[in-house]
Amino acid sequence: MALFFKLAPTSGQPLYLQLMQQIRHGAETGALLDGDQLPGIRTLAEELIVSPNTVAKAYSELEHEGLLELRQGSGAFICVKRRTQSLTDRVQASRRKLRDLIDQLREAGLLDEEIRRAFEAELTHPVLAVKKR
Amino acid sequence: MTDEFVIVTQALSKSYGHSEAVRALDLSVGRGRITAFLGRNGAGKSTTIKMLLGMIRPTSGSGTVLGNVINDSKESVALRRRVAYVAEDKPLYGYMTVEQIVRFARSFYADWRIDSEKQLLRDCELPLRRKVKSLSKGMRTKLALLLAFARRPDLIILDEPSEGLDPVATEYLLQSLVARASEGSSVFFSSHQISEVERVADHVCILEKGALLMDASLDSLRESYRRIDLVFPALPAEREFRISGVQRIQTSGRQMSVFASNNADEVIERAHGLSVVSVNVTPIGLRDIFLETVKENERALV
Amino acid sequence: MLWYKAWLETRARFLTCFATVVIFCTVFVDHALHVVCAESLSCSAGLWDPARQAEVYRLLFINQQFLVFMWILSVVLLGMGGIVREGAIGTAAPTLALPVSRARLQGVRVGMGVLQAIALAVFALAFSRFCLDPRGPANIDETGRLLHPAVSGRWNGLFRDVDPDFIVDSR
Repeated sequence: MALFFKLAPTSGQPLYLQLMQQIRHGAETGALLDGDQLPGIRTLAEELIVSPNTVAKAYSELEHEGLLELRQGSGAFICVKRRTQSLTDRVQASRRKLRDLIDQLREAGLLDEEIRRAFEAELTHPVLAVKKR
Repeated sequence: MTDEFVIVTQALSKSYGHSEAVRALDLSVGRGRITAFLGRNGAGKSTTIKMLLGMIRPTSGSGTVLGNVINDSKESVALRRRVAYVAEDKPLYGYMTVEQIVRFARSFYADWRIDSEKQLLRDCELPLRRKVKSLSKGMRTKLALLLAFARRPDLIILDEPSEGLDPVATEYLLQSLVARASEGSSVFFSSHQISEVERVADHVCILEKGALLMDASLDSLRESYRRIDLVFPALPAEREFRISGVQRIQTSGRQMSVFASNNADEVIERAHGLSVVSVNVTPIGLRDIFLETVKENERALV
Repeated sequence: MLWYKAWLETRARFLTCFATVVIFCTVFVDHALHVVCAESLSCSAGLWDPARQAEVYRLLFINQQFLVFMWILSVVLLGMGGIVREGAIGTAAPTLALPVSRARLQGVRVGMGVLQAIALAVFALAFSRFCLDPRGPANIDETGRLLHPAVSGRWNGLFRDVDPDFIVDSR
């Protein structure tokens, strides 16, 4: 089963976090359904050409969150539980909010590039965002 | 007994006359990880590696590799049996054929895997009956690497493995490296190809003028190094931003660029406190981290 | 495998020395026969003509001297060549990274040299003996060509009939 993961080593975000996000995104958009099997750690590491520790950490964190089920000997399986389903709904809702916000910013005269940079700048400081709240 | 570290050194030093190639090195390389060894040419990386393998005798200090003391010749032989090493110059015996040298290497190691050997010979398209001296440079490099990757050692040490390899061969090398790491081999490799290191390494050590400047996980570097570009209506004094973690500040007109190894949030808070007009935060890639670390070291020495 | 490697490394040099010894011995025997049989075209008794004993003995002695000299030269060549070669390509060879002690590496190298030296010495002596085999004289035919001792049927004992003192004051 092939899902196209693309990791960016220079984006300032640990690779395992990127992988986690992409797997989550796959589950949210329906590319990965409940029960689907992800490639084994070695297979995925060789395919993406990243350290197996990266894949292992991503899988283990997702198992903590409940999105993945690691079965000894068989591999990693997607587990879209009801909790995760509500997460998907929340993400869908946020996407709608974002769409409205982006339209507003565009109307205000900002270019897409500027909007993107602003988002990235804010996103690289989740701690700061927490502090502000 | 499983040690946490596959390589540990204590004040390892090597001097040639008056010049110190390696200075009081305290290196520790973790088990089950892919660790990259970065450094300029002449920083002492190859010398360190050769000392670890007992090929060069240290001037002082000690170390262990896989629990074996590097200074002791008997233990050194034992550790070389469990380590796969490819030197920077990819040495081979020119007068042997591909077949002969593979057979020769195979005879020394219990961890040799014939199936891997056959697979690698096929993938690299190495002509068995051809003498090594009549192979192209790329072929020779692949052969030298094959002699290491056809094994399942506890530790793989590579010195500039991708030197002389075309992009396709480099991908294959990295893939093989990752495959061995997945099977439990710890990997310790030195490289000038920062982009490769950024992809596969878990941990990074930076060596400069024989001393260790950095020993950190790549993820922690990714999370903490930030470049903060600020625009002020009136440029404040630089010292306002000389807090811990800030390595370099550049100013031009009303713009200030701060290079921070951590504490980026504090920099931004201060900036907000000084009525900053624009804040732009970007991550810093390993290349710039490396360059800045080395330059900062030079500034500190002056 | 270390022995195999050492053999591959010194093979060319060893065979050259070997070939040199063979050529020398062959040439010598040929020369010896010409000298000995110079006066008579037909040398039916070959090298072991009793009248020619002293001459043959002297020639044999010279032959052995040369052989010893060549042997020493070969040993030096093989030995020196080995050290120089390993020194020159030393750092370019993966030998030091092998899980073998330096003592063993040196031992094999020296051992191979010694074995080859012995092989040369044994061969040189055996070959000379064979050409000058008392059980079958080296024969020369009318055209002066060397015939294989096994071909002739005659017996001429080299050492049986000769008084060692004879060689000193002959001629």
